[in-house]
Amino acid sequence: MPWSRVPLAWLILTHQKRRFVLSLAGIAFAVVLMYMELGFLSALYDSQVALLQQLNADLIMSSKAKYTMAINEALPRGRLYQARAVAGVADAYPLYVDFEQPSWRNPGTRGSRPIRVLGFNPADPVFLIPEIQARAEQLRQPDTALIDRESQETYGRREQGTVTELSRRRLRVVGTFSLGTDFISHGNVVMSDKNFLKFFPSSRGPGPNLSRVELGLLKIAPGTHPGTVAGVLRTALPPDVHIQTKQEFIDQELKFWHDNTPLGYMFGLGAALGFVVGIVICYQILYTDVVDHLPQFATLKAIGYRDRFVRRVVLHEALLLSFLGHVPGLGMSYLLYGMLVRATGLPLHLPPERVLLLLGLTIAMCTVSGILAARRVITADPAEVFA
Amino acid sequence: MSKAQAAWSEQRSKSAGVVRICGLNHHFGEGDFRKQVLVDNNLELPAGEIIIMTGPSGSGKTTLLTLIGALRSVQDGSVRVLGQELRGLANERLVDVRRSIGFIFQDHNLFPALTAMQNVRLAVELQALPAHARRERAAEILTRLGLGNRMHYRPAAMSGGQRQRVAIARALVNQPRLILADEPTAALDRDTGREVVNLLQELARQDNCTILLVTHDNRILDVADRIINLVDGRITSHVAVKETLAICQFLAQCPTFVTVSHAILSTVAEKMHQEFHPAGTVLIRKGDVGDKFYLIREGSVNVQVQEGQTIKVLQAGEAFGEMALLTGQPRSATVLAREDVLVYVLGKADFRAVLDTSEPFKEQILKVIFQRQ
Repeated sequence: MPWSRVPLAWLILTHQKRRFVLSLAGIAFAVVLMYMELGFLSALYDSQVALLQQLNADLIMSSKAKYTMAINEALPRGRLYQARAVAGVADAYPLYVDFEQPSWRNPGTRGSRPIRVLGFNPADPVFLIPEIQARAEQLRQPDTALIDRESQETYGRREQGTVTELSRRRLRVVGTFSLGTDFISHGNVVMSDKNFLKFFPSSRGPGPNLSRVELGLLKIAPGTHPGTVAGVLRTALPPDVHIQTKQEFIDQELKFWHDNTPLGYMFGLGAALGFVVGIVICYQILYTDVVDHLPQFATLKAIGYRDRFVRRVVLHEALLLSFLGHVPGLGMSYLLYGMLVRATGLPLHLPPERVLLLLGLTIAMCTVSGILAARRVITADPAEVFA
Repeated sequence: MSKAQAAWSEQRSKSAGVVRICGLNHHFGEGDFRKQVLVDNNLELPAGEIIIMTGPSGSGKTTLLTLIGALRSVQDGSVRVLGQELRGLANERLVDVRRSIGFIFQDHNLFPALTAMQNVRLAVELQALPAHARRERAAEILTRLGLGNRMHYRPAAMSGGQRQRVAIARALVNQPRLILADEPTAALDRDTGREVVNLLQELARQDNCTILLVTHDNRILDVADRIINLVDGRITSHVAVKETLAICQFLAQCPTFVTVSHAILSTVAEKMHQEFHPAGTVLIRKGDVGDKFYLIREGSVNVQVQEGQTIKVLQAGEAFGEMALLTGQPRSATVLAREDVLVYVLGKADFRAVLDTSEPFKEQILKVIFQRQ
């Protein structure tokens, strides 16, 4: 026999199958709401640092004046040569970025829109995106570029061979890659440093061509520690540059968006609303169950069960609801994430930590409702069953 | 042990009260809305009897039942249940008392989601027993109540009578010495109600448990050993049916009452109570004011007009003490127990009341007195 005691909570909960299924659907709805809001929140943060994540660097060198990727602030290329000379640095290569001047013409509508252009030396392994590195040689041809497939629809056709204009200059698309959009760029173009100079000659103010780079990407020698090498670099280089590990740089960027946008507040509130909706739904389910069984619960109290037993039954129901409601909620969220990734290009992932967090929230949600609903049964007077 | 003593101790042991109530008052509401629902009630329920409590609705029956059932706190007076005083008990302790009482309600109050077996097991789970023992006990009681083949049915798949039997099984499964039942037959048809009541009677006999049953159902009064009538919060009559019947049968054989009608006999019997007196006890002393009428059940007494001179010996079935009650004069003789005696006693007020309501009885008594003189 599997049960030594009568599984009262389970039997009450599942007695009416239709009601049970509807209950689970209600809980699942609240769970989906929370998954969506938190998913959007982290997707928006993730998309702000998607480019940084795809850079092949251990350390990132930036201008002292650059505090976010949302501004263009370059550093002298000479600093990279200086860095290469520092012990522990294996390699250093530049990344050119411009999102102020470039404007992309939609080959279909002929309308122009700003776009972010990334320039690099095709000989350098700058990106972790295999599609870019694989086509590096093709980018050496004049007036060629790769375009981000996930750029917004308004940029028009983007398949290989498309010919259009970038900042009023003819350009041929030799391939595509996948990166995604963020708050400052609605599309991305990658080209060689030579082409970058041709398209944007006045870039980076006075001085020799290509003398000013947006980011310096540093690889460290095997067996050295990024933090240690960064420390050495900071003392070796002039104070006009900032050396950070890749993760520190990413964290700085995330902090900038966190401090300067109401994202966390907005989506956090959305998730909180989901939580509250969940409490209301769960309370409604449990309260109805309690009220429907009031004579039975009062009978249990009359024959000698204590209040805490009855409260435990209701809380047990709440726990069952939270686990069983979470599963379809998770499944549904997984499907919706997939749909949204396809539709919007937002980087929606379902990391295990989020599943754990939301399972915890679901349990908390149902427990709160359980405690509220159990109050009704505690006030049930066992003498009432004789009335 | 004398015959009288044996009969007396049998009576006594029965009434080693499972429930003893003294000076019980109960109020509902506060301030101006305070309303007294029970007024100075005294009650003793002997073991192994079925007690039926009747009375108009609003008379306080249910309140009395819930007080005995430890479902309410006692406000004023004393309620002892199974040897435990309930007055002043904390709620937690009241719950413990409830565990040794079986409850049967008007509605069966079974969980619709649970089978008969599971519903009964919920009650067994209050006991510290191994899982298999709980299961066996539940199965055993259900089988005993004729539900052996319905154990795994849910209430919805059972008839009204079967459901009520499951509820009875739930009340009995922990072998309580006291069962409180509130209108257990109200929701049942005549035959099913009868069946349920017979079952209760059988259980009371077999397990020597006391059943207090509140009912309006006249059809089931015959199972009662005792009938209590409650009106406006007061116990207005308390008839030990079985005892009254025994007294009636005895009275019918007494020369004094031989020609008296059954209706009068039962009136007399209802008002009588038993007293036991060991050999040598003075029951009546010459010169005292008369307050009781006696009828000897067992043993014999000496009647003495003067100290030490027995003028007459009265045996079982004979009555004495009526003269002083009729005439209002002091006792004319002393009566003392020759051996242990068991007597039925009728108080002066009750005696006169019976006389007043019954002309034939009065004549009969006067005739007896006349003959004696």
